[in-house]
Amino acid sequence: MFKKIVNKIKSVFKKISDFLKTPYIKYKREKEYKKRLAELKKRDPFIYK
Amino acid sequence: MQSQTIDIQQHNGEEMKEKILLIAGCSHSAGSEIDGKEDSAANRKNSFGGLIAKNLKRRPINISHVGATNSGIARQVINWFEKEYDPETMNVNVLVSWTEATRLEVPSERQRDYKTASSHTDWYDESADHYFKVIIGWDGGDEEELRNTPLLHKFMVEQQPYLETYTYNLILQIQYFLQSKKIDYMMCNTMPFFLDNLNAIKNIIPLVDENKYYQLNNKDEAFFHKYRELGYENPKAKYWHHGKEPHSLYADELLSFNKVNKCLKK
Repeated sequence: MFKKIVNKIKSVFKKISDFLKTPYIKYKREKEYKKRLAELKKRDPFIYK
Repeated sequence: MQSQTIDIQQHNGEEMKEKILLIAGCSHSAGSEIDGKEDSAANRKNSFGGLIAKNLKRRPINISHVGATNSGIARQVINWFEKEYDPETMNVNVLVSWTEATRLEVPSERQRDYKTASSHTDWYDESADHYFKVIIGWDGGDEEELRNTPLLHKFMVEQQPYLETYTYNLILQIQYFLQSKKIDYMMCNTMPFFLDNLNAIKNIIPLVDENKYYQLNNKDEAFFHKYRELGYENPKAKYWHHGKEPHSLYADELLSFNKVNKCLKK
């Protein structure tokens, strides 16, 4: 019973922590995406309209 | 005696056929911007494919499209054979130059017109007009492109392994297509592939005939990047395409490879 309560509290803390980290994770992903996009643009610089 | 007569007739029949070099690829194999123009007869004549055709004394039919994708290049070849090839009158060899693997072609909701960009192509594959192209440096022009391109750019960035594997499958498709028709051919890269360390690709590469593929699996030897790294710059080009000299040097490279491997015939 005690273990169950501890696990529940842990899970709530994890959810709060994930929620707080979300903007940072999103920012990191966006930064990584933009870096890879720039690399690809350098690799294939051609533009056709 | 009878079989000898048939042999002679067959030989004479081959001699009578028109010798053609079909050249398929993107803007690089169209010789784009050699003279500063996106497409012109002079560009195609001075492109590496045009120079190879001249050396082999074959009539060039350069069907390369400006901005072509690898799926478009494969379709150019298949559709040309479907619509134009006459084995009774033509002796055709094929030069296929593969481009950047991340470029996409997506079925379009409307009829498009890409012929204006490839105004001097020797034959236009109209099937291209049923797709819109997604190139990493272009965010789209019309409503359909603007709506779809951001998501597709994300896919292109995130799924390079998928796209390179797909290109290798296109290479095999054209390899087996040409083999089935007993057509001599050569392949090369105008733009490099990068992900040869993936097991999925490692399993495909041995299926590609390396005696007919110039610098298979060697990203440093792809036409555009190789000559760019060597410092060649075309002052006439607005979009970085190479000038006359790199085309001539690359034609020499391909002809040396051909001398050893005899992919294309005189």
